[in-house]
Amino acid sequence: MADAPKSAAPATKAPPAWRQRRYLFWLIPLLLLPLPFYLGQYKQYVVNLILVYVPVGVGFNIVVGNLGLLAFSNVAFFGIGAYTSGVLALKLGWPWWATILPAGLMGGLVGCIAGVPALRGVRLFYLAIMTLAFGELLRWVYIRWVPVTGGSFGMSVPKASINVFGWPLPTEGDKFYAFLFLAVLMVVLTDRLLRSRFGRAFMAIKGNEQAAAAMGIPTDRYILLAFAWGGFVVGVGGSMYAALVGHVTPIAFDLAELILEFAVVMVGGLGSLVGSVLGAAIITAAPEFFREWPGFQEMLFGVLIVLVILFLPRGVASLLARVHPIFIDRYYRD
Amino acid sequence: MATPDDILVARGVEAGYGKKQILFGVDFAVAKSEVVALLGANGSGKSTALNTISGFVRPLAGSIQFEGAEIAGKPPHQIFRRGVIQVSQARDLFMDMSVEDNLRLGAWVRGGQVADLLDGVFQSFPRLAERRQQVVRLMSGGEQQMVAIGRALMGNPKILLLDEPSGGLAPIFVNEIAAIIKALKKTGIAMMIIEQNIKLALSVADRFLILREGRVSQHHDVRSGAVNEEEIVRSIYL
Repeated sequence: MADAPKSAAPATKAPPAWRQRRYLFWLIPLLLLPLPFYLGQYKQYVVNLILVYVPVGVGFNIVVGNLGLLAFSNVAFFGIGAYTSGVLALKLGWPWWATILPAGLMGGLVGCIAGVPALRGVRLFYLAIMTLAFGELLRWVYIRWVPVTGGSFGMSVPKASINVFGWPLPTEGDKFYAFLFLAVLMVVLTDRLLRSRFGRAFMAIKGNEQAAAAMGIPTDRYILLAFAWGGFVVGVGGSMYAALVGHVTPIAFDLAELILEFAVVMVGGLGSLVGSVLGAAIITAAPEFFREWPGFQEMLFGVLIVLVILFLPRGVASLLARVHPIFIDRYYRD
Repeated sequence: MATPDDILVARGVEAGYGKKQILFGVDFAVAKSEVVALLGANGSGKSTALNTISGFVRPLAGSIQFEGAEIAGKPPHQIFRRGVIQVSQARDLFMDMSVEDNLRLGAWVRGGQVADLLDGVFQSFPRLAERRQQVVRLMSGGEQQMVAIGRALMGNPKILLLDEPSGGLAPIFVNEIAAIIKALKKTGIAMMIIEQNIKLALSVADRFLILREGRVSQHHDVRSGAVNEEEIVRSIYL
């Protein structure tokens, strides 16, 4: 304590310049804009799939990474979003763009329901298995509720419905712009949320739930909010998926899908928004690179995940954070 | 017993965990700017009493009023907002966060504008200012206790509930913590403090209560005259 005057940091200091350079992130979507002029239909499809997995990863990461709860109901949010868009388009003839918000809202609603056990104090493996069961329960509904969902065969989303304010999106390149807008919107809104007092409440709950309550944080409310927002974002991703693939089937929302989505979060970086985006890109694009070695594809993919988790337990985002502090997730604006 | 100056008044508080009842009708009051020490042997119900005030234990019966409003059975975050802030025995810190993040979360209820409060705490605890970016897990017990007290101060407490602030600390830190509590007392914050270190307790307290098997067995006013330390120890443990 005696040497305090010299080494004590000034209590208030001007924010470092890099913190104000976050606007540089806007360059990423801008640089992606000309992409459809260079890519063929298939490669463009893969890029679009990455954009679908951006909100899927972002939403999952809120609950698992930021809130720190082992809740594996993400595939339920994803499925309900896809089915909401599919049903509204096929049965009610809505255009796809009008189904995006309802898909998100349904995802949020299902998120609230999935969060109820957590409110009852269910944690860890118990919460994991309950939320897993919840996802499977929804899959059972998709299969059995044939008149609405089309059962095991699923349903086709009418091609004509895939438009934005009547502007059709016939090619992958056209969809790309709508998807890019939605993915960026979800990332920006989530970034806002995480850097507000909401995000700090999530961080506190993850750090120590009882201490969070002792700091005046109504923990129940914020746990529910994290599930609801996570569900909303993933539900929007589900709606994008329905428009991209054009076909919604129960098999797309099974446990293998959940593992894939979990890999997005883990490889990208638990609790990192940058990580969710990176994870979506890596996990979606990697199998394409391994396609040249047929038969080894799954194995190489598995090895990649194991290596990342082994050497980068905080995900690829932690690697970037070491390169430049702009990639460190911030919880404060000042 | 209660006077108009009392900000915290507990009457007939009964509490426990599950089927095990710990408190059997406890009464006490804390006046504005007053420091009340809660003494007693292990298992006499001291921590349970504090946890009942702060809302972590729901009382089975009785009333707890803070500034005239009933707070018994309210959730912890609502009691916190009224200015009743606990520094618990386990210290309940966010172990994997930095000192600064811990302190900032202490002021969570007031939103983002905390720079002045942060400055104030760093001035009171220069040691924390030096280590503001350090992860709390890597700090010594005494430093962690400072973070815990500092974080409670970020919430602008009207009454601080301190559960064994000197528990498990090296003697040098016990003195430092005692100095901190005395300094806090000068600022006029009311405090209720549990302490095994009777010397420390008596040096800061205006009054003390002795809990025995979940009941208040004795009241003493330290200000009214000399207190026989040995006699107190005897009445706590024998």
